[in-house]
Amino acid sequence: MRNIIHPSLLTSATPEGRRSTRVPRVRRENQRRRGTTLAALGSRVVSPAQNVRKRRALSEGCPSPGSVRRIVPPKLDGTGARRLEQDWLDQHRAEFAGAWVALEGARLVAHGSSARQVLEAAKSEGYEQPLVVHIPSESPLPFGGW
Amino acid sequence: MVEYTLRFSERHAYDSFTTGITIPAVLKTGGNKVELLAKIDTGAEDCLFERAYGEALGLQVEAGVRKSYSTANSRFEAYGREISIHALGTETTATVYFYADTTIHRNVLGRRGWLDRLRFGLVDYDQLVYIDGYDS
Repeated sequence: MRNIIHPSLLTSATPEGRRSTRVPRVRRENQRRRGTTLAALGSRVVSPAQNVRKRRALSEGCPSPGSVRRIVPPKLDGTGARRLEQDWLDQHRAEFAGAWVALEGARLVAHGSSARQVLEAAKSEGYEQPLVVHIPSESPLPFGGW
Repeated sequence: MVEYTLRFSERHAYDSFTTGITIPAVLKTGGNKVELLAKIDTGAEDCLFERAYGEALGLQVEAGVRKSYSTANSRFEAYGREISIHALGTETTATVYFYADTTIHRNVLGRRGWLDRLRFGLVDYDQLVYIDGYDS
């Protein structure tokens, strides 16, 4: 049966107990078997014509969908995905619990008690667009949705 | 069997160990900008951000349009301001909302102003988000 995963394909936590950020082997296998990505599958775009009225009502008072503009594509890894910053947050969460931090790559640029404070401190150090994040005081519970 | 196919120009691999589907986003207004991590939330009617980001952008948050939201078991207030959102290779301009309550620390990219401007695909199994402008 397709949904049953053989135990040999399952991965375990790293020896240090830290969560691995690598793609689990089962997923890599799955990606390799499939070969093509969703984006590469076809050229047809099915227009949700029947939803036009609903979309119009939803967008009332907002700029039209045409206001979307393409900008420089992000990188899958590195700065575009802020992967290094997210790794830093995983590693230093306890150390900076309750604080705001400004990060650029794996570097802590500034930290303090408000977003504005750390953004200004980062700018004064020459970092124009650091990632600014509040680190919660306690480990967040699983989110149950709105 | 009917087959449906969508095309996307961008793909983003997100970290499945972070709570929610979290992506970097830049908020811009009046020459100021701040980059943050936001969660894609199809259940959120609007885009909602921590009040501190509005203040970091130099906004008088409470000068915005006040709006009340319901959640599963409570409610909260937020103030709307028109700003630009840059995320995953797209830029939208819309009214987004900043929480009145400074203790709410959750940033979400919701329907109005973000999802309703895009074509959006999600393969959570592969930790991949696909995205493109609605009219692209």
